[in-house]
Amino acid sequence: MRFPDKLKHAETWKHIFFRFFTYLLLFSMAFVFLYPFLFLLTDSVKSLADLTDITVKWIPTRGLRWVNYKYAWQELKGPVTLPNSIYMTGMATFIHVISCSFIGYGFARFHFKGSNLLFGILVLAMVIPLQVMMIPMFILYSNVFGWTNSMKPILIPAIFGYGLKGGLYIFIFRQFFVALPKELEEAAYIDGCGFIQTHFRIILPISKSSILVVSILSMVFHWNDYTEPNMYLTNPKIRIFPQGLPGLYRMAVQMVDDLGYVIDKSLYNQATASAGAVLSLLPILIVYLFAQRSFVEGIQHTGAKQ
Amino acid sequence: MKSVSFKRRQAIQGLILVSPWIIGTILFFLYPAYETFALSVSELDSIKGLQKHYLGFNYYRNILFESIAYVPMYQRVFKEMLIRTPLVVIFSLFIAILLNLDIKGRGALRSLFVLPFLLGSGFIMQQIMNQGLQDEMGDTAMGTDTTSISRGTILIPREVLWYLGPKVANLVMQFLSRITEVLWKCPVPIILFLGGLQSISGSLYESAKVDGATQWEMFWKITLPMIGDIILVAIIYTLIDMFTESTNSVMANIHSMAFKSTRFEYAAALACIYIVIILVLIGVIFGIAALISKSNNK
Repeated sequence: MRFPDKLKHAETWKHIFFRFFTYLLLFSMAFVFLYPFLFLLTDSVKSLADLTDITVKWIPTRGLRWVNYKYAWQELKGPVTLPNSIYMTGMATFIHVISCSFIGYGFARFHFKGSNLLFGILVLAMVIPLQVMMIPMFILYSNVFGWTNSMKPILIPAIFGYGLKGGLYIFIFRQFFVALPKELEEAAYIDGCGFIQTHFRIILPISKSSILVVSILSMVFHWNDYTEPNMYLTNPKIRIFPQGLPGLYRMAVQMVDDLGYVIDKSLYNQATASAGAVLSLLPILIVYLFAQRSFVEGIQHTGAKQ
Repeated sequence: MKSVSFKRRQAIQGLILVSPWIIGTILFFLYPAYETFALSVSELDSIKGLQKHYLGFNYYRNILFESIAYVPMYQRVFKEMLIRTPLVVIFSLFIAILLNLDIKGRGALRSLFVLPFLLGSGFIMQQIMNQGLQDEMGDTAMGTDTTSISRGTILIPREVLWYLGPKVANLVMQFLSRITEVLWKCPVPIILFLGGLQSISGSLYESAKVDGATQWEMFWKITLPMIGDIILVAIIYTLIDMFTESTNSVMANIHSMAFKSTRFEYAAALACIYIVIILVLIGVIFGIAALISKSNNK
């Protein structure tokens, strides 16, 4: 009778130790990530006097200056650029999920002559840095297609599985689809389902985790990108939110070391720039917080608890 | 006879699914890529419309055999990539497995671990780390490398380091900055692995448990084989991410050569050599992956 009891006792201690160790490890690693973010947060509410005072590191002593956020919002032209950003990110993400899953399914399931060659080209397209092809692409989009002053150069390539890191999403979908059991599709075929129908009715509904991964990646990459937007979205009416950030930082730096002249730094300084960075981070953080819940739900659906 | 028609039907179906991408490849990839290559073997007459005339492989010869700066630069960047990629992949798989455990506060932790990724492609990060504005425009001096950017400072207060003495402090700093650098690269692989881990059906683990398998055995016999495909994605992503990030010295050079010195042709040649090397590397990785999956199927 005593033996199982003792065993149970040992198991509990092992369990507690294991948990403790896991938390310790996770939190210590998370701190590395959290540190700069906390720095950003405290910087964003500092007043000018606190910024220049080296004894003030974490806690602003001269009150919290929330007005920094107001200036940053104004300088980033929030009322115009934020809806633009949301529109562009939402559209691009939606298009990417549809088109890349479609193409990825083709790569994963159907083998034909030259499919390996095509896959090689896919990898090649992922590898070539955007900066390298920037000039020919700009000429193609603006002179040949005439897509000036619109979001077309960002959205239309996404339909064809290109756009910002499009190849990566095709690759991700392909890898997820390859691992799916074939029996489901075969059953669908026998029941007379076409292959496109099979993709949308059978494959997509059971690959929630890959859709989630791709939409998070595409969303965040689009939201934070300003290489392409800086090239194509030059009209102030279609500018996106984070595009103004480098300018905000540049302004802060210029006013700090400008030939000894002290320009009025009360409006734009490091604190305003940090406030702008926090503002551009907030929407994506909120969306991610909601999205990662589906990760958890996914577990409950499959019952994959360890 | 029947199998042939089945194969043909499969081929047609595959082509239909892939066809949008093929159109895209021709329009948005092959054409600009061709233009870039053509630029690297010609001399530009006018930037408007990219008018140029053929010159030959002069720039390539210059980069590979005449200039003393570029070959060591390539070597350095690739050495860094080879050291860091395995570390990043192993670390993120480890973190993803921990984050996939049934623990309290999992949601918050998951958000914490992708925070650097949400913060953006490095611009805001650079600002926070006081990297200054030079890096943004890409005119990093040739000698400096991404590795020399010591982010280890964020972990240990300077005062503690003073007590350790210069030698130990240096070692500690190097170790920490390496770890921190690796951790910074982890968020996207973590997201990939989380997705992969979630797509493993729980019944596999349950039946293994019934058969008396330990956690360790389950990791090697279930988890690892099931996410093998995702590990490949993570490796390729990490490589490409380091390869194309604008702070690495080759990319910085290409950028400043093109947009500061306006020698577009030279920049294109630099990029072409760079791309060929990474393609060989990726080819080797795919080869190894194919070998592994072959031996698994046997």
